Amino acid sequence: MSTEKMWIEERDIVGVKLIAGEEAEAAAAVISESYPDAVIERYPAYLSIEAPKEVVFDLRQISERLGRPYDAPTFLVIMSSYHGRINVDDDRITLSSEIVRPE
Amino acid sequence: MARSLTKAYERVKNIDWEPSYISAADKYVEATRFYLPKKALDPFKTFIREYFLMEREKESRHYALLEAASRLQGSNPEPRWMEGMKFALSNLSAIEYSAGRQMGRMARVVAPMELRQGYMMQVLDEMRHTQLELNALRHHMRSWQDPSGYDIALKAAGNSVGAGIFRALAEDFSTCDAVETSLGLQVLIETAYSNIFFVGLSSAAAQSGDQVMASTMLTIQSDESRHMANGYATLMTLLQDDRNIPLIQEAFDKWSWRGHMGFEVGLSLFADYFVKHKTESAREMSQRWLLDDFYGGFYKKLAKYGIKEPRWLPDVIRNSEWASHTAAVYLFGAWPVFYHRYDPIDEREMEWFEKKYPGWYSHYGKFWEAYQQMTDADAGMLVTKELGGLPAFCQVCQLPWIFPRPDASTGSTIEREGRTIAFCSPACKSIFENDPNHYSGFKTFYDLYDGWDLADVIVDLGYVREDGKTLMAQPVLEPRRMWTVDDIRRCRYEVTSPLRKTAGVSAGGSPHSAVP
Repeated sequence: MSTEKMWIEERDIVGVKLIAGEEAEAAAAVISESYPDAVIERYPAYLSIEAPKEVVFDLRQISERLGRPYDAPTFLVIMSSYHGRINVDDDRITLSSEIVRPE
Repeated sequence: MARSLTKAYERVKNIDWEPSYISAADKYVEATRFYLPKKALDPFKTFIREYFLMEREKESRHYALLEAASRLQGSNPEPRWMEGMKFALSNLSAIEYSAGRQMGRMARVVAPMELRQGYMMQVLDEMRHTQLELNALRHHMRSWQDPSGYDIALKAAGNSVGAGIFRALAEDFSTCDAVETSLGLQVLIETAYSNIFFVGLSSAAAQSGDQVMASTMLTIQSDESRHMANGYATLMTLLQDDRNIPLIQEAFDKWSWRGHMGFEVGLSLFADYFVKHKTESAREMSQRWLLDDFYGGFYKKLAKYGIKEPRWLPDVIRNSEWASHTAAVYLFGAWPVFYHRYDPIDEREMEWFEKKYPGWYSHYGKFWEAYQQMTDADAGMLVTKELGGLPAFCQVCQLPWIFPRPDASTGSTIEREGRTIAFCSPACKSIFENDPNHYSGFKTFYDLYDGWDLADVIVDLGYVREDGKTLMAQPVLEPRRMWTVDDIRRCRYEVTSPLRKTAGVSAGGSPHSAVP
């Protein structure tokens, strides 16, 4: 892109940046099974997961893969950043691209 | 952590009351010009119990790494990065502390309970971040080969001319309307810009062998995730009342620019000039994190509520093409008034810059050639002096009058109450004119040091080593002989404000002086 002008384009990509490690790898493995469109990239200190429109992190599935109990607050310990609209529930964390105003 | 967050959230959000013993005006202390509906939401549904468990876990993991790094001492970090962190960490800790104070203000002024809850936890987060950064400073001071500069980091955040950029930013968000603070700090600075630094540059930290900083950055940003949600929740609450639309627009117009000049320009300088083993350019990072993720993935979607593109966004984009390089001309050009050792770019990096920023050499090549020729203390040449002295500083953002590019400045001046006031850009000028009293009291470098010999300025700032004469800053990592205050004095450089008036005429003509 170095010779191109910078630009803005509306996007519907959502995703997270996870601190690298065992839990991030478990989350990536679960997501790549459920979301064929997901893009997983590894950087020197973090792991990036992106997918179009919506992605749901199912904490029970991550727990099964890790072989130990796992919950939302523990996932948030490694979730360095996200883009999209987030919603935290007991057993899942949802990221969606739509903006919804509370009425 | 077994209870249901969703159920508890439904129950707890109904517990709220208005006290009968105090009026609303007395209770809120500060008024806001925004309209605050009663209903809000916290997408994180965070409670104090989960919050503390979560933060304790973060701390355990991070401080284990700090302890391991202290024990092993095995890494061989990149000197350029470690020296640059002297400037970065001193400013970061000051910004975080200031942000914490703002959350307390906002919790007081903003009525909906769910939002207050999020802000109060953010107060604690920001205090945590300040401590994390102070601990990183302490670790680096003990482990790095040259602790000088780390030892005065907090003092320097208060008195360095470069730190003025971050002080001006923090003072702006500390003194504007408390709801505007949320939009500026949480939506623009924390959502749009903080990722570039804390996530994007965490890789650079790791590659530079500074694992402590990589971990510090990522554990900080894991709290920022909630802060982004606080900003989003505040914005969505405000959007329920159409009377807020023009007020929100005004805040975004201002803060998209303020966040860029006050924060992103510094980040881009770091990404391009403090990272030796380069991969992604600052401009590419801005495209990915700012334009794709923030503006493309979020801001543009607000159009359906009547929120338009920020007024100065085209200027942000134009500025981003050259911001890091122009900031580097300032930081390297003014090296004696900073407090770290400099590692100027080499030929291989110049080629990389030309590839990533076509035309780079024609705009900046001469500066770097001049810099390379003036690093020897015995030769006694100061790059700042030889290039015409320090330029004027913008009264709003405190960056010098050389943006977006030293050979194409957009700066201007106005006369106000007998003073000449400089601006770097039409955006900063317009922000000033909307609220002049908010910005006119900020003391620039020249208000403090106009007419001083540069050697006396350095002594006054306290940027000399233990022997009382060797400078903390050195223009190269390992000079043949370290520069001293006496070397600077021999250069005979008097700090002269380009805005200084003699018999009603500006001295030096144009404030546009320190250009290659």
